[in-house]
Amino acid sequence: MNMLELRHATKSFAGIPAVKDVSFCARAGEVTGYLGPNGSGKSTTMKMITGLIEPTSGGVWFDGSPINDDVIAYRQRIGYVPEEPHLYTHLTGLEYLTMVAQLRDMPHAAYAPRIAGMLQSFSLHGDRHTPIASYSKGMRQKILLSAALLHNPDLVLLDEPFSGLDVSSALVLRSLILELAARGKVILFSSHELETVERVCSHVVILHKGRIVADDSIERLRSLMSLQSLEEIFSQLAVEQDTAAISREIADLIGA
Amino acid sequence: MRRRQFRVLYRQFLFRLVDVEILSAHGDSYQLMGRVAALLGFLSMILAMGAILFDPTRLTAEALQSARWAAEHRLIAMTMLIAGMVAVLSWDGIYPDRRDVLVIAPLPVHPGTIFLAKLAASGTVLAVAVAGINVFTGFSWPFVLIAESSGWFGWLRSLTAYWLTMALAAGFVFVAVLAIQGMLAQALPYRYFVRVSSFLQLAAFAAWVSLYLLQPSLSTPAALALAEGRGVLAWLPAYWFLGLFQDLNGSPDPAMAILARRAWIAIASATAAAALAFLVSYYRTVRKIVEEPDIAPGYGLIQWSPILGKPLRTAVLLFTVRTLFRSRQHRLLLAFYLGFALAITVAYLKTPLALRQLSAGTEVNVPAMVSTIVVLCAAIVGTRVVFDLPLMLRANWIFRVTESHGPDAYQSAVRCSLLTIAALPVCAVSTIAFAYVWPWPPVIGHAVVLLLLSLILVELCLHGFHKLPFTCSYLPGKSNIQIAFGLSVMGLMAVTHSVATIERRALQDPARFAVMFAVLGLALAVARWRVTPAAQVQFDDEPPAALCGLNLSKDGVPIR
Repeated sequence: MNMLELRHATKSFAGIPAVKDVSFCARAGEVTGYLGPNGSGKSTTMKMITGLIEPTSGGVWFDGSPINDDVIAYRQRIGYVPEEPHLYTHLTGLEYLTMVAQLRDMPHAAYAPRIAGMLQSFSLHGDRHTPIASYSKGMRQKILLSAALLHNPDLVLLDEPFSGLDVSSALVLRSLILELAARGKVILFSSHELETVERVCSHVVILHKGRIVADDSIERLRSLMSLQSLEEIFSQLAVEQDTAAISREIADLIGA
Repeated sequence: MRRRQFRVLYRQFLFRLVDVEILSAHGDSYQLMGRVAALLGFLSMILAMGAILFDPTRLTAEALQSARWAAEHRLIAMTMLIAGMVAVLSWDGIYPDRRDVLVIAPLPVHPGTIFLAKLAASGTVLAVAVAGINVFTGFSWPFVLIAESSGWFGWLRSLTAYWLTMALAAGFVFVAVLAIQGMLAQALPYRYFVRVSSFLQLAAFAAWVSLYLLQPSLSTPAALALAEGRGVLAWLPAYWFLGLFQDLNGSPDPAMAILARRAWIAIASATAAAALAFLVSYYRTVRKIVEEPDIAPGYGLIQWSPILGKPLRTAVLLFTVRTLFRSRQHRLLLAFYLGFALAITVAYLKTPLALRQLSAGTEVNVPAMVSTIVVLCAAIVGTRVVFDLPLMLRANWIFRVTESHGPDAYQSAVRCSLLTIAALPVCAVSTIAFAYVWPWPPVIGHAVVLLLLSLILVELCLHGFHKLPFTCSYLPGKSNIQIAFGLSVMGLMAVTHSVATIERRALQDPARFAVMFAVLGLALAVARWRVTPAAQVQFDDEPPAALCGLNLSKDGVPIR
């Protein structure tokens, strides 16, 4: 069974640690939620898992092997949706997806029907010859999702995948995540939308100031902390500020 | 408040001309602008050498006057060319674009402040460029361009006339571009203007280069008569400003007065047209930008997605071709290299030796071969330089996460792209063109030589290049651009002429051709051997190491 594992992963930038001693497992068949406030180190962890940056110490294991043993083979097995939708906007949607498939060394017979199907499913077929520069945020997000799933990856890394999606596309994506997990994919899902995380994830890892403060199933966390929702759990573990006081302070500051 | 807003916007627009997003974490826009200014200063220094070496005592009165006019005309034409280049490069910086409107328009900033700040920023760049190209010539040539008996007053008058003429000539070119662009912006819907404007920019670039290269020189004072209203010279702006300089400098020649009048009329008309276009834009453009999408949807009928061997090679080649065709700044940079090749080729073809050989008609001749080799070199080197300039740098993550091959496979894909985009079109066009004038055997022979030279040049260009086109950040100032530029200008023609002369002899003798083929083949093998793939594809340009290792080893084991 495929499994993603982080073992004491630490990443420092100019001596300042962004992620400290992070260890957790994401198993095939389940959706692992990766949560944390802004600046807690979620995106840094995602980049370490994709191999874009190397940990300062510790490491990332997939299928029992360190990813750096054969990073090229590992990258062929991952699909990644980054937080920011940075795309080559001078290409059309079809050209971009074709380029990604070719970069992944997929044969034409394999990628052409998949791309056509993805574009149809995400309602982008009519705009396939339009430059991405003209796409809305949601359309760009759909292109990113299609590019991440095109090669049938074993490990799917989703960093804010619902960003900009309309309601129906968001519902499709939510079902798709569960379907992929049911078909044995390892899914790591990072989001600030706690309601969605609660509906989709069976297991959550909560990060605060670069360290893990919770790593368990949502049910177990609820019973352990005697709290009703994931939002309450998250507020207790990762939110230090008095949100009501801060909002009053801002309103006072602008003289409202 | 408006003055403060103007200052903030002016600073923003001034440095918008350099796309800071493309720069490496180790580079900055000041450094890049400094390098460009240094290059202009270097050119000015070369042009000023002529003033130092100018010896009026050896010339007759008529020849002296012709030489002075030719020198003045050359300097004015060069300044106008540089101003044209600045206008082309700051094309998008003059009128507000979608980004300006969407970011600044919601703020309480008067549109007039935005327009004025844009105009001031572009004007500053123009002034720096004109000062740069004249920094040495402007203090050497004015003293050569007057009679020796003029004294201090004459020198001062010549100096003032020189700088005023250069400023007005550059200003004329700039406002003319502004007027054309502004009128087009009003005539077309915004999204079509965006597209047409991109081609107009390239056309303007071609026009400046062609005008500079192809305009006739004023070889004798008698030729000036042609300029009195009827001849070709009367329609060339550089000659109007030559007349203006002479008029300001006190020349009694009536032909110069006519030309000077034309210069004043041209400046007045262009300024009025630009001001009108600017005023209309002031009221209309901002609203038009908000109402219309930036890019017309779809690339329409042209859908080209061939499969070219391995998927990776296809992906890199198609990405490269599409970026080159669709990115304005990359197209423009490549056009600069091709324009430069055209310039030195035309200059070479105008030499008496080349003209004599060209008149031989159907015979295989060196100048024709030289021109194809020069264009080939410019196309390959220019394309390779353009590869260095990134586009949408933050989107390069897709190349990193999809890395499914070793670095050698990526290098092979880049080699294929460089050959396909730069070398093959030049080889194909020259073969077709020569097939009409030469017999078949030398046409095929020359095509083979061009192909081998292309392969060698591509390998030389790939030495130390471990990137994918347009995906690595750019670090300005890694090479000494002034020295490289000077050496390449001086070396290229000399080497190319020698190669073409050897080739011409080889094309007439099969044994010699076999030797030439073997030598080029050997050179290709050596060049290929020198190119070694890096440990990984490079996505961020790094400065050279402060300390260089000697890489010493003993019995194959590195010594540490």
